[in-house]
Amino acid sequence: MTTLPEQLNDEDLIRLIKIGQEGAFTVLYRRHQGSVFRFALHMSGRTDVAEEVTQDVFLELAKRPQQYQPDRGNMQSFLMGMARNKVRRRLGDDPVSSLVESLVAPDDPFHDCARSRELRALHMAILGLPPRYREVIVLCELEELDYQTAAQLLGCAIGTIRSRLSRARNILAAKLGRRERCAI
Amino acid sequence: MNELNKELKALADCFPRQASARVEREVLAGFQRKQRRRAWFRVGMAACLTVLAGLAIWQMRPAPSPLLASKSIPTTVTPVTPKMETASPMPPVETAVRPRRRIRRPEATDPNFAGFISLPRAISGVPLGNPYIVRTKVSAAQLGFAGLPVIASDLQQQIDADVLVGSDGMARAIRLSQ
Repeated sequence: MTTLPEQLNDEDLIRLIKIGQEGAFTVLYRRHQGSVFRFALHMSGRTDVAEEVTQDVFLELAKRPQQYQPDRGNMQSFLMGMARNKVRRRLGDDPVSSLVESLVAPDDPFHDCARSRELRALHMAILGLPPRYREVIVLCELEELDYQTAAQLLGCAIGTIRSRLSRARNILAAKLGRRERCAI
Repeated sequence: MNELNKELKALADCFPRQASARVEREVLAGFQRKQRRRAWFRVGMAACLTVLAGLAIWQMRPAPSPLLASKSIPTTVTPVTPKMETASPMPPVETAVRPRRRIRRPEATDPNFAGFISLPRAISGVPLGNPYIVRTKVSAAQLGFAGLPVIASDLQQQIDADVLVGSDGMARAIRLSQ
């Protein structure tokens, strides 16, 4: 009885990708593209950048699947680490440009949402955070990763994640004119 | 859960959850392109390895016999029928030296070596050097021992023969006299 690629874990899929199995690559892409795309989208605030980053990440994986080493973390952390580097490289040190472009972007993600005004303000506040704080907000709050995975992805200690998250929430609360009382 | 947490959760829900189908098409097309390039690379590598293996085999081919290369000893000669008491003539004698590939057999140009037959069991890696010819008598049985096909009723019949001896003292070829 043959095993369908959908039932295989990431390590087995990578082994199949190394020998050129397109089906395995498709399964791996569909399994992880959402998290990569959302991370890039939340970090950049731009759909086009997020799609480019997603495309680059998976093309890089197709080109060099041997880069992934299971003993150094899971596939999601590996892919999001690549996405993190590519977003930084794409945006450079000028997050303001992304802010401006996201404001005038035709595909407004908030047009269907209730409380769109508050959410838009929150989105702007997140995009205005320094990258190291924005990363923890995106990973731990928007993507709901656990602290250990976020620490592994960002290459720092769990305590650092906690402190950055606390600091980021305080900054957000200050920007939104609220008082943050939630204990991290 | 405070208000900020609720808003963060709502914000996460506002954004699309997946990349567009165009991205998937591009990524899969990129994967296919890469596989095609890899296939061509493998074909190229296989071709290169085949050529290299062919060259290596060509270099390692057996060297031509020094006897054949240095001196013009024909391997197929006109039959030499010695005088024998029996009525049946000796059939045409052919050398048992297996012809080697890619070795051009030179014609017998040296009249001194005309009519000599290479002895199949006397193939040597030592060059012929300065050979000399010894005239002697050999029996049909001895010719058979030397690897030449002989059909004769009296194997003890002595036949006049010229034996070509190389510089290493080994008999290399023989020429039967009438």
